[in-house]
Amino acid sequence: MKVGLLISGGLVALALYALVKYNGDDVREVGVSATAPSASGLNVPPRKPGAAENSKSENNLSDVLSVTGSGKLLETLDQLNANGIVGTSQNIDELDARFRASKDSEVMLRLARLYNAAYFGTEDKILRQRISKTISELLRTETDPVVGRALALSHSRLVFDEYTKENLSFAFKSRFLSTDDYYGELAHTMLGAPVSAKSEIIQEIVGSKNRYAAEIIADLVVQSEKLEVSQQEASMLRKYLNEAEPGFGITSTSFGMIDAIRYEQWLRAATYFESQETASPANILMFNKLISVNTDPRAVVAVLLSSHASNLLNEPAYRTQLIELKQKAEVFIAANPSAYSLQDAGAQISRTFAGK
Amino acid sequence: MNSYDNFKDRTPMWTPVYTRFPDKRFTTGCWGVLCGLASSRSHESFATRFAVAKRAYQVYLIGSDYTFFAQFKTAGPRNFDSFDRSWKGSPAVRGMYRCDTFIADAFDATSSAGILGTRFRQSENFRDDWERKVSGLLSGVITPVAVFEKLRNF
Repeated sequence: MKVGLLISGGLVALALYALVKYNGDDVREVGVSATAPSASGLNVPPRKPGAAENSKSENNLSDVLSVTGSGKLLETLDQLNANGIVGTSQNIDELDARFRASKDSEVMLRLARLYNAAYFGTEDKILRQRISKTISELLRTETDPVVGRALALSHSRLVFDEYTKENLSFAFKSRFLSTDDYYGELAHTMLGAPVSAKSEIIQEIVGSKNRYAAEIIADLVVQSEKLEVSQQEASMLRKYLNEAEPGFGITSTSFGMIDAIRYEQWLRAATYFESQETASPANILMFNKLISVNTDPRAVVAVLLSSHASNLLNEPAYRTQLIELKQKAEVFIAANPSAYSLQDAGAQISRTFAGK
Repeated sequence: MNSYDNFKDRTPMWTPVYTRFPDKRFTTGCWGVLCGLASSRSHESFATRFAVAKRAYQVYLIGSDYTFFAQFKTAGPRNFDSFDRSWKGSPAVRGMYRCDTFIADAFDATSSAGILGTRFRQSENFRDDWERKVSGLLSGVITPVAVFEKLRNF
């Protein structure tokens, strides 16, 4: 696989830029291996041997941040963000003081992220409310879009509260957030929102026709099928997803793994909503769509590579349809012998069928 | 904004790296923006090549920030709250990566210790050669060149 294909979305330019710019000159030892922040609710076992212990401790922020040199300060702030901080009132005071005293965007955006870390570094409701309110106030007076974006994203990943929706809306109108940022965050906040806010969020996302948010919604549906939406909302989401069918790259033989994953997720989500309305089984709707002459053969390849298709192979009721799909995929793959990624996908599909 | 096309026009690209993936190694885990218990539908099993792409896509959906330091923060999904049996728990955690640490994270998802941002991830045959190679991506000095060279020699 071409590694570049793995880089997707907003990381593309940044990743490749750094890949060339640093070119080995910027050698840095990773002082502390990253761990998922346990305070965020992730139940994560210790990192692999050799990794340093999570440095989240009772460290006083003012001591930790008393480093010399702006590069060292930025690096220290990154380490704190990765490892988490304890959300004491003293540490929050220090964050407030440093944020208000700073004029450096790079420092401020990292401090903005640290508010999020401090929030999940305490279970004290009053301290959490204070952090949420502080970020919301700082956002209102911010003029630098880079810092404004960091504040908005720091807040939107707190537990949903009375500021969440208003902050996102403010940051979008202030152009701190791009269209994808905004609707993507709305999709993420949807699950934690109370029923009335959730309904508004769904209406706004559906009205936007934003494709990034559609990808997140599709993933939510595939992962849980428990969105707890009303019949009317489900109908709106079905229509929204139907209008966001993903494609497969520039040429007729382009086939990337990310495109394949995106398509498979979309199809499962779209057929789930359709099955809710038509009472037809989602898998039958999926087969009908894929076998249609109007459906790109790469869609078939994408689905046959998935774990879902592999599981369906265990069910005799679906075997005939799956073999038909395999034949459609094989005809297309055979007609494009120079397309490496398609040939590779074909080999994987053959292995899957042979193992069943 | 520094777009991909604009960047390609201005800067010579590195040679593409084609990684050899093991055919019969599967990783079971959660690959979405929501993660439930290990027995739930949110856990699926994928061949290594697909698993690496699934993790990259998971990071893309969760969202991440860029840093020019080697220190990174793993993007983590929203977890099913087993207490009130809902998804009302902590939201997904945004990641923080440089180009090399992003790629290394995606590969590391296929290692036995590759729990980055997920729960209860398991790989079969975890004492094999692939395990050793993937673990090496995040050991020692992490630089774009080092990760690039390691992947080239996989």
